[in-house]
Amino acid sequence: MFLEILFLGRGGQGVVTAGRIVAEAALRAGLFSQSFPEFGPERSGAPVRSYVRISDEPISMRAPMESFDVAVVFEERLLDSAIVESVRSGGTVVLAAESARELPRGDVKLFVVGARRIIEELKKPRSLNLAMVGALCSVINVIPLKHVEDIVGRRFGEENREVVRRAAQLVVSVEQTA
Amino acid sequence: MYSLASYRLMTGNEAAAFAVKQADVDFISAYPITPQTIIVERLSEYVSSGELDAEFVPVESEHSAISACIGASLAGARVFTSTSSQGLALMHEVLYIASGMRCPIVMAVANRALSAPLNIHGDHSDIMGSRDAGWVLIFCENPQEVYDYTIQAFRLAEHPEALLPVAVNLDGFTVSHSSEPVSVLEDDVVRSYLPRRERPRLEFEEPASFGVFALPTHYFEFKVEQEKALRRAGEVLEEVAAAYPNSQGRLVKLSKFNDEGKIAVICLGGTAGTVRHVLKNYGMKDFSLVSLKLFSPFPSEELLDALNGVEGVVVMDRATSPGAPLPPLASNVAASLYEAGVRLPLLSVVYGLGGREPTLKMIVEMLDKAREKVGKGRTGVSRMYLGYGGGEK
Repeated sequence: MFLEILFLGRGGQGVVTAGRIVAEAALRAGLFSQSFPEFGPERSGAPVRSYVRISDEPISMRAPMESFDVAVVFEERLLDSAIVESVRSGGTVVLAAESARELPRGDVKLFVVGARRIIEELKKPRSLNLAMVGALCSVINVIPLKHVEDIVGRRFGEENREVVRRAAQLVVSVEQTA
Repeated sequence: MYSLASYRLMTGNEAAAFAVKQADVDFISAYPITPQTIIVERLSEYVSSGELDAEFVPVESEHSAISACIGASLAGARVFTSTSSQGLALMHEVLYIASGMRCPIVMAVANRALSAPLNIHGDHSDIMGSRDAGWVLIFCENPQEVYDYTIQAFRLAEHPEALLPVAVNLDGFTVSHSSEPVSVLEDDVVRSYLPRRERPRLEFEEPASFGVFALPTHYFEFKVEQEKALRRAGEVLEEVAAAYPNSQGRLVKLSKFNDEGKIAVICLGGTAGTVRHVLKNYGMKDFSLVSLKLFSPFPSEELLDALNGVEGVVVMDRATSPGAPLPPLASNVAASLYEAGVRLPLLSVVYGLGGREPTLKMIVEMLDKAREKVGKGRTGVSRMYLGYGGGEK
């Protein structure tokens, strides 16, 4: 098993932290992981990326990631054609969105999660990244959600466990017709 | 193998800071610079929270940081500093003083390109510009090695046969900012590995002078003695490493992957991991990888052993040496081969300047070129800029 994952959001949304939580949860699950930010300056509000590799074998490579098994996108407007193209055939997009949408590729699976609504309802406006981590873990199904909840609960407060849980429950697959 | 349960997720920078905390240093002086900043940030947190009982001296420049470290080291303290790029360049004149006065300072260098043009990303230009300053130079492939080698660096620096400063190099961003599993030792295990040893120092009771003025009658002898000490540091390295409690993390002069390869790729730092990945996963059985962990003193003998039976070499330099026949690593490899009377075809590859990280495709391209240039029956030296002219994004 070898997964390359992109997190794409905006500066200030905890994109780098999301990658790190997933890498740490993978480690707890007995897997090898590597997480790194897009290197260089980061600006609040500008698009920001972070990357995670998960494997059942040690990871020695440190090459930049150019294509992905999974792209986790924090906002619909950030899902442009270049991002869709960078997902490998048979790969997955996990998108924060209230409703379904059509991808221009039939060989990529789409999952959506109403992450904004979840964090509003739970009054955790800064926990968008935690919702996206919960949704991702539910979709890839290689890391027990409990590990993510434990890390999140310890580091960001127990009430954030519910953000992770609810996003994991509410993420849904969108049938693609293309 | 030990279980993953004993691992913690750490960046290269965090691994360096954690190792320094466990080494129980007495004195830290540093000036923040990307990409090493997190190292000194973490250490200042350890000191302010009381987890580490040390003097933390913030200063106005790297020149002052290394100068303060020399003073503390001569007073007998265990000393650490950290820098990158322009910061290391600003330290340059003082680096020679640290080694000339035989101060066992340990410094982490998160390697970064030098200006101009201004660039904050990774390459080895910074440390290669100071490679003749008489320090022991260690290169790390990943955060685990940063942790293990930083701890061993203190024991090597303070070894009575060495008494020299050691620079532990980690690639800026690709290692310094990459979070990976790191297996760490217990605090008391590290402490017993690093006992305090007596060494010449400034004392009221027995006054001594350090950094004296040396006329032509003595200066030459000082410098040759210093060079011998650096050679001895290479000799005692094995003993220092053998005592390290985690046998998997012992500092080696080099590590070789695939003994069957006919062409050897030689490189420093994190890129070795990417090359190893390609050799393993793309079925490149005709290549070996030699990942050098020690650049100075240069392990010529061990390298020649590793190259036994090889028909050609590829040497990857993440720095240039403008005007020189070959860049730094290739130059040392060629000199080592020459001394042994071995004349192998050599492909000198300059790569990754200013953070242009080699992709898997670039490594494959390099290996294809190597088959053509240094494969069976080839001779001489050829050159290649890997990824040059293909960086627009």
